[in-house]
Amino acid sequence: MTPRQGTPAGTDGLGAAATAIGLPLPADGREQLEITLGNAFETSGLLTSDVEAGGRFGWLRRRQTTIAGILAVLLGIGIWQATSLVMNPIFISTPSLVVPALWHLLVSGPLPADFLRSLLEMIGGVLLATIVGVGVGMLMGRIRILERALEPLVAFGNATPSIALLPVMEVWFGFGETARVAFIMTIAIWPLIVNTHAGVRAVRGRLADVGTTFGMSHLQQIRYVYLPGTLPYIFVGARISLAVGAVGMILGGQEIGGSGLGGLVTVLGARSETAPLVAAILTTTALALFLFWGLRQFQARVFPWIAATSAGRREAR
Amino acid sequence: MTAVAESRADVRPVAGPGGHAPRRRPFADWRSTRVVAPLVAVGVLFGLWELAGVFVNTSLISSPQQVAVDFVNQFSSGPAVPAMELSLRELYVGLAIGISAGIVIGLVIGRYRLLDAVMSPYINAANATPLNVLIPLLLVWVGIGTEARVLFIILISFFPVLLNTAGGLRNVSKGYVEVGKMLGLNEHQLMRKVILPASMPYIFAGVRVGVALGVIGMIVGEIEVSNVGLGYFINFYGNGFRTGQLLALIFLAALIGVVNVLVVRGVQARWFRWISAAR
Amino acid sequence: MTSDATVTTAGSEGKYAVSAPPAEHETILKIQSISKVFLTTKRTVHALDRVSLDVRRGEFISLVGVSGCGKTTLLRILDGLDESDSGTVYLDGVKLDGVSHDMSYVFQDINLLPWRNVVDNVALGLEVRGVPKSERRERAMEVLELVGLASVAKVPPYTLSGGMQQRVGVARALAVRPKVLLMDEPFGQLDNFTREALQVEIANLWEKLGTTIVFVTHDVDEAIFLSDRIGLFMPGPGRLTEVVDVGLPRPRTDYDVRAHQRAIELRSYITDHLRGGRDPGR
Repeated sequence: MTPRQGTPAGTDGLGAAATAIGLPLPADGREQLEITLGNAFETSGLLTSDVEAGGRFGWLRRRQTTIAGILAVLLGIGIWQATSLVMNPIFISTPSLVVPALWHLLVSGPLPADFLRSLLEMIGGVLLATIVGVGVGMLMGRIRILERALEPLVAFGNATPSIALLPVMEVWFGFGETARVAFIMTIAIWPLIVNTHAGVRAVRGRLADVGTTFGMSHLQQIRYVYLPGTLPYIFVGARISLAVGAVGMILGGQEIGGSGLGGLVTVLGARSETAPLVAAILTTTALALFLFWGLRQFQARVFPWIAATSAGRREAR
Repeated sequence: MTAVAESRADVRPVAGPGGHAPRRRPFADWRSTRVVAPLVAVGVLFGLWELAGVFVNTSLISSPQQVAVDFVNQFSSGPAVPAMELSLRELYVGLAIGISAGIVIGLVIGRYRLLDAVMSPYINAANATPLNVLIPLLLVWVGIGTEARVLFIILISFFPVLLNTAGGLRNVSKGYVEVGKMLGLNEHQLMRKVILPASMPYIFAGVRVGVALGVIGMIVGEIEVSNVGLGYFINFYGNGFRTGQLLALIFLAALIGVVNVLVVRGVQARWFRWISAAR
Repeated sequence: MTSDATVTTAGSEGKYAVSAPPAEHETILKIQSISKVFLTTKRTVHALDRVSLDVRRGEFISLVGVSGCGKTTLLRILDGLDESDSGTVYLDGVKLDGVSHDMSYVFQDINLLPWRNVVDNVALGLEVRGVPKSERRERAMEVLELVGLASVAKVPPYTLSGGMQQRVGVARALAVRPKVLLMDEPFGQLDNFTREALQVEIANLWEKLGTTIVFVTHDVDEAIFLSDRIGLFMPGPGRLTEVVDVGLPRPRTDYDVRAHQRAIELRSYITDHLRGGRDPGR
């Protein structure tokens, strides 16, 4: 379980990047024989801190967290079902009602269409935000004038709750997808600008001399030094963007034309149809988890080396 | 902690051995650029804005002058101040509950690995989800009204605090713990004198995020669930294309967010100065 | 027969390596056949293999060897920070079980608590032992004077230099008046000049207080300068192969130890040994 590293569009400007970049690592030290990692606490009770345990039951011990998690989920489902004995299912429903509702929504209901629509708008908005945001952040980092000019504006934009611009999006782009995608982009762009900028600044401090020493041109420097160096920071920003973008995805769906998952849950809620509502909510969770997983995979496959850098190590997952 | 080195352009050129001052590159004088550049940027922005007003229907973008007038009026005679009062009350109640719950449960989860392993699938799922998808469910539970909004703020501020607190506890530097053990601290003393203080930076980070998210939650909640408060009026003005008023309220909302986070930072600086200095 | 450290008597190999183990009543720390194995998925590490050692009361003994040969592990086991797989340790005749209140540890990475100022860091051990507040302050200041840092008692520790921080670390360990002081490469993180200055300080402290000190280092010169005896560690599996007497006159600060004939010979003997040249075969 990782701490939520970082700040959404709505905190303190560039300070956000510092927090976003991560919490400090515990002191390393004593690598040669210091093999047991994990909790600073003594092993108490059921779970021990053998992250890399070997020996006879090593494979079991290493996976104990996952196993505990799986058991917890199963147990949770059981408890959930049991609540129907004491509570009216209108509140949180039960698995026995939700699963068929989910099925119904999938097969003959609007779920697949809504899911797809939300997913596509989300990806579109975040992609746009990434392209523009990383671009602006990079430029700010490389061109001092631009940095000084834009820094206060970015800080202000980062602090503003972009949610408030929802009606403005409607006004400018109509009541359809363009507005929703624009909305997501507006929300998701700030963490990317801020973090990319912070990344470039960090590279500027540490690695700038590397480029000049080897006599690289500006473009070469960007390609060989700045881009790779900033990537860990960009990914941190991307994670935050996903999180806040998802909020925009749902909100946009609800307010701009009642479509997608956002629209679906509003309609179901208005009719107090809890079972399909819960099903839709869980689907949203699944969508969000899928997006984060996708990002992680992308980072792990295309840039596996990021995990090994110090900035990457801080963002342990 | 790592001070990002300013580039060489920031160093003011000194007179060289030849005796005369070297030719100064334009924009090398950082002091004036720092002030001028943003002003230029804002100026450009306003310029574009004016220009846009010429080409586009003025109902979409009111002119800067009009906006300024409306902006000021909002504060003197508009609903901004009473709306803010209401929003803030809900905000602080929600934050108080959400943050304290987050810290308490975070401490418990951080302490007991079993609990952590058991709760983490749920917490991760909840953390990944955009929480405003839960609002219709909240409405089913408590109906439209202040409870729903406060509940939402509680939820949205709870998770970052929880995660950062638990993470902080688990990330306490082993070195500190060993020092404590070496000096003979028992479990309880270790917790009180070493582990809790060592987790403070993380807890503060979590609270900052929680506060920021809480402000957003306040606005979102009001957009969706009400006919009162800042968020509602933001929505109202937005829908009515009343840009001046809208901007005023957005500015207000931003201010609330920034001020609150600054308050947290202030508390941290005053009582926990070592947190930033010790990195 | 289990391999205790070879106790070479005079005459055989050379003029050194004479180390008769202390008599029973002189022994403060009796380490008996300590073993520890680390099991991971990648490998099995025999950190310590039946290490035995008797430490004389009031002596300064160093444990020397290349990195990764178990000397730090042994030290941590002594202090109760790690557990051995087999073997026992007796402190003054009492079997050790977990952290002992009569031993203190000085860490390589110092680890002063940043939320407490210097004197509160030093006093932490006294808090735990129930010493009343006024006495705590007094004793902490006393020991800070000993290391020459009484003037910075109230400052936050991160404002101090590395060398000063480690002196506070030593003060912290001494404040609780331990019977045995365990030091784990305490000067490893410091630059040469600071390191030398601190070596002198430790030597003086030891002369003054007479505490038994077990000192781990990979720096042979440091060990020769400071110690009465030196235990030589070899890796794979970690074992204590020999204990040599340093036999140089004290106080060591009165002359240039590095230039002393015996020190030179001892140094080359130890270095050879550690390189495996003189290992009496196993």
